[in-house]
Amino acid sequence: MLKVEGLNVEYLLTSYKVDAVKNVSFYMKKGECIALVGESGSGKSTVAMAIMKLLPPYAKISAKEIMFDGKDILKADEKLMSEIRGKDVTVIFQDPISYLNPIISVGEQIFEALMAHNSKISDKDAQVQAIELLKKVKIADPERVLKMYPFQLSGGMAQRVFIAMAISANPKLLIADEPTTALDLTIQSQILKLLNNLRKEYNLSIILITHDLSLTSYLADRIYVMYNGQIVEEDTAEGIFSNPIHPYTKMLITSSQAIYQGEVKRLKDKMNSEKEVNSKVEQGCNFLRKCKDSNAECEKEPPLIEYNGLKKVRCWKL
Amino acid sequence: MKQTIFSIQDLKKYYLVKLGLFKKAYIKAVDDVNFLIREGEAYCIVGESGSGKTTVTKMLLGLELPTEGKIEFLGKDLSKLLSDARSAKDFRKNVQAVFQDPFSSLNPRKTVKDILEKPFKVHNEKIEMETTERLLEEVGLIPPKEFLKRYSHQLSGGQRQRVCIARALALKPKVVILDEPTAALDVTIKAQILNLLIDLKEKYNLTYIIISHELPLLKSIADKISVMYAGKIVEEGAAERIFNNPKHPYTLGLLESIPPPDPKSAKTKTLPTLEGEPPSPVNPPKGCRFHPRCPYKFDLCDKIEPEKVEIYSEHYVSCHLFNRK
Repeated sequence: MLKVEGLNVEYLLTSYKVDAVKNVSFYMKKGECIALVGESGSGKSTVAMAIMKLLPPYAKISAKEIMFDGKDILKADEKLMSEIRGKDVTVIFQDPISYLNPIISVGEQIFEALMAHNSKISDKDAQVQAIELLKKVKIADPERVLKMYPFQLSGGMAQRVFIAMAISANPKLLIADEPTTALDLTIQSQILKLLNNLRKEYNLSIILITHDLSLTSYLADRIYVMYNGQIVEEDTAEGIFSNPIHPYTKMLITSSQAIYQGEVKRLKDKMNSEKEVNSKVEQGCNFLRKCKDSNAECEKEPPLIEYNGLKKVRCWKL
Repeated sequence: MKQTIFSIQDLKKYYLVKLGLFKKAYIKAVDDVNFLIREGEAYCIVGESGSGKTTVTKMLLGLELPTEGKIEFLGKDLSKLLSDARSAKDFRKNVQAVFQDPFSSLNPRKTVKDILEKPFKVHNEKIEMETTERLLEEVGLIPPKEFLKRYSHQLSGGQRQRVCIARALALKPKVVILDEPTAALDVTIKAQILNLLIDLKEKYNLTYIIISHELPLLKSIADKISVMYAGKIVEEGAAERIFNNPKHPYTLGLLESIPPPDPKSAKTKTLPTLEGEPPSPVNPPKGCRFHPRCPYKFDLCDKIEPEKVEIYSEHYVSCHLFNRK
């Protein structure tokens, strides 16, 4: 359904440029949930925004191919894009309260979303549909919530309202950019469950963007691990967790498992200080500066190689 | 018995809010909280946002005055300590803080060297060149000479948090209060910072007060845990017991809702969830504040507030299920 081939994004700043995304390719099928995992600055959000063409003007996108549902996104003009955005592809963000308009009631914002895709809808129908949507996202008292303003909502409620607006046009793809990072534990698991139910109900495809691997274990079918703008490993969720190959993936998995099991001490000798590496290697493997067992070969950039027929890894050590 | 550092009795903090021209209400941010913190302990307070955990730490730091109740630091009343300039300075030297966001807690116009020298200047203490270098080595920023010249924007999130920790340790405090010390960091960095904190605590016999909503993180470091819900402590006890044998239904729900980092585990597939949302602090539910979300609630719960019961030595639960009277 979605195919991205050789995506590059550069941010052209006044005095220098930043390669935010380097040669990223991925695909997803209908109803699938893929996860882009990586630390902040790894380019995972930029990838998602590039697909929606929502990047600022100083970002330069180039790619071999971006196809979504039979439409060529690369060639799409602004008119076609605004049809795709909000209707076929919608986004939910980390901090829902700041994306809701603070001076308009929740109800009116949902009506607006409904009208954007169906301008003939009557006020009464909009009301009925909005209540229906809020019930879908498990808001207990939808009539009352419609009259509330965003500042009266808790973080979890705001995220539910946001999800309700996102699914209002029956989208095919939902991009969830750190959807639960700002929420508490108990609310996080509620939202994860909600996303999973919606996915089944609407046969929705989800791109989950997160730095928290434990979220992906519940929701994702396949995982792309990103480091410094590149995909360093891709595999099914089970494959990533049970058999991580790339040193960065290994580090991610061991850290999150050690945290979960309360055995952080075990990691001690592996990483306890941030040494400054002076050699400013511009080329070569992205992970070179942090890699424990790098050698001379690593000063050339490794390709993304197929491994065991199942996963792809970007490392010379294979 | 180890020395008691902080002793908190019947602590309350109410904030006045105006709902209209004449209507007033109180936000009960912290309501009747009691606990003891002993030397060398990592005392952790967990709870969801709005549960009052940050308000408690603000009062411990003397940044907010309690509405009611008493805080004693080393046996002395905190409000008296703070009213005298000299003893207040001494208190500040002994109790340091590290905050969640290392991006906003470092002055962007100062170099790391300036930042680390500041505490010594404030307290009129001698600084030697090696002092700041040793501090940086202590927190794993190697080589220190390289880092001293930098400004905070030239550091990564993890490095900044290390500088914050170095600054907190500069004057050899007894207590370090850590408010969500790793919330803004990536997973691999979280583990590193946690390790650093564990090492430093052992080395200097520090007392930690850690505030967090990320329960799994605390498993590695906590000695004692208090679970707060809507301004009250619902369960308090040794960390091991809280994790392995939680008693209060809320603690149970919190622990259950942590997704394990393993797609094959049975828990990942079902992901047990605690339904509902935390109550409004202006108008908390009658009786037990957790009863609207509690799967085990019975007729007493929405009428009478449960009392604190000691079910093991120094393990307290406030829940009717354990009140055998």
